[in-house]
Amino acid sequence: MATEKMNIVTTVGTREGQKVLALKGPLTIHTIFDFQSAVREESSSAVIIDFSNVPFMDSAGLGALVGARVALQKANRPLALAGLNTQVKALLDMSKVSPFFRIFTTVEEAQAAVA
Amino acid sequence: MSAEQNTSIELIAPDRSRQIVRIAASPFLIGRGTDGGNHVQLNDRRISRQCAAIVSDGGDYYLENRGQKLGVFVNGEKVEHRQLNDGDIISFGLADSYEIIFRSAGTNGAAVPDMMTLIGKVPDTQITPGPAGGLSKLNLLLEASMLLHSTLPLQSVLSTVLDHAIAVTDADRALLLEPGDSGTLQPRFARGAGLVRLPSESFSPSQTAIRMALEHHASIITEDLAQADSGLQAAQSIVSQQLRAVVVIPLYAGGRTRTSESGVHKGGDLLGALYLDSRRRAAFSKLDRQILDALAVQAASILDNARMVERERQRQRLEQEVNIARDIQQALLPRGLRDFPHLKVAGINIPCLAVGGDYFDVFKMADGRTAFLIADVSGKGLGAALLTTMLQGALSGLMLGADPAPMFVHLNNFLCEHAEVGRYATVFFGILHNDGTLEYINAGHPSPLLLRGGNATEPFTEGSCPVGLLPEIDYHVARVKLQPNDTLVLFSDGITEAVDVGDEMYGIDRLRALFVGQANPGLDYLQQTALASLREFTRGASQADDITLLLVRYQPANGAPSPAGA
Repeated sequence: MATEKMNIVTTVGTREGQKVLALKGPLTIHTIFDFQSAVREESSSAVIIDFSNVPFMDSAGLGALVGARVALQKANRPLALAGLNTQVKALLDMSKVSPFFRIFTTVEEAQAAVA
Repeated sequence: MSAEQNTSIELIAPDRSRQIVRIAASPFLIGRGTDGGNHVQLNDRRISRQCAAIVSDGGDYYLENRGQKLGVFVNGEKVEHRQLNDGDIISFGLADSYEIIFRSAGTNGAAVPDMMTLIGKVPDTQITPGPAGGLSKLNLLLEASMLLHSTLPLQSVLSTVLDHAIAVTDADRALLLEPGDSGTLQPRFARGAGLVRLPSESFSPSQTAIRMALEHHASIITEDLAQADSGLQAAQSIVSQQLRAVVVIPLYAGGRTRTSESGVHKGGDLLGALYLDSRRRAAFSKLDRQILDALAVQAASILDNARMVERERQRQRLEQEVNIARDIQQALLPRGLRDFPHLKVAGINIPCLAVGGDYFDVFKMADGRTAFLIADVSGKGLGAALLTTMLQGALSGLMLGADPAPMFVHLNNFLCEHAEVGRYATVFFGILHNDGTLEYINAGHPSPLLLRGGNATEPFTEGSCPVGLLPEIDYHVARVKLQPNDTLVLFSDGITEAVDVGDEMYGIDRLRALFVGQANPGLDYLQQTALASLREFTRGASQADDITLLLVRYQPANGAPSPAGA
């Protein structure tokens, strides 16, 4: 577990001002710093986080994700999540924070809905 | 007493002659002339008549300033009153004046021969005025090696190394530099020819020479600056101090610093530098350079050892602090778990580090209800433990009968207002009435399992966000009715997210399956079963999170109203 690494690829979305942050690897205490700095560096108006390649998220990851949501909200910038697997979705549900996020099955759906 | 009889000072006069004087009185007076009844007379007009005293108290010796205007120094540090240890060097803020070495018996220091005295006994050794001959230089080196294994105070050992370096090079003065807080080399202490201590602050070494040595990771040895490269020749301190010869040897950890021109150091942290200079030109033989090289290695080893000792000391101190934190945290867990009205309890908390971010609590409320809770702070270790303790303090206040929902709103806002804390906590908080009514608040915690009639379900999902995650969240109390012998299994995600060697998670299904079909077994048995199952599953994998398990069983007290729905 200590060798956990996260790779983040940022691409331009289909609509103007959209950026897609594709995470690859578990979002945990070992990788949240990479995640946080990637979000902080992103200045586009709308951010979509692609979880398709995130196998697992722990409580620290949840904290970082909610932190991103709070920061973007303050700047009036929309945030959407896409491609959550069962474990990640279950953690959001159990923590009762799902209602605070716009969650889509695929990145394409998120791109169509968020601007 | 023999120890006292052996306590003495070694008086080093300005002409470098040495004399041992036993400390036969207390106070043992030191000063100029005999007027003040001085036991030791220092013949230097700059020293006060009543200068200093060594006072014995309960077997310990202290140095007191009794009127020396320029100050009294122990190992270069100005003191008014200070305990003396074997080998401490007392001076009076004066160049070319007296120095006194304190010698106490019964310490380790006494077992190690005083290197300076030893050198003095070797007829070939001429520490001053001229450079030492070949054989006695080898002798110096041998002694330096012995020093490495001695138990003399670090300061005396390093002083001796500097004195040796002066003897080898016939330099005027030597300086040991060590990295300061900013990482740049700062003078640590200085010695002059003739075994005198110099105030290191007033020593201005050639920064150009030091910089060159550090840049090249190699020693700079300049026998005659008149023939040196122009950069060094023109350096400010060299010009202003009329220096002719300069030696700078950088000291690195775990490696040899070579003084030969071709040798360049590779790897190892910079520990400091040995600096020597002279107003006369020097001539170093190959042997001189080899001996200097070896001395530098000794100095580096001494510094490296001292650094390791200091690190170990710091590590031990930290470990001690963490142990205290662990003891406090474990002591805050509830005691006498079976003593609650209408509630049987078992619980265990296994932090993955010394202290943890999980805890559980059970307490009787003022109105006869019983409260129980489990909390899991995000992260682990000391940071999480601090928050755990704060939560426990706040929530235990509910013992007085306050409404829990506003308390959760308050805690959530408090933590969100202090966002730098950067942590949040999931909490399941329950209050059980004697009639089986369970009021609970679930703040983002996994639903406890409800064991009833051989089944295990997760009915306590209604709830809100963890505290400290999102501001302005409302918390509400939910209500359910328990039946006698209903058992709640509260657990932290350290159980369900524990992984085996193949990175597979234990999961809620495995935990639930353990309890299915069990007809009313003892709580301790259930706890043991769960822990054994977890151990079996994770065998070989290390515990990555805190593990907390709390089992509570509703058992109405005699005379209670019969539970509904039974």
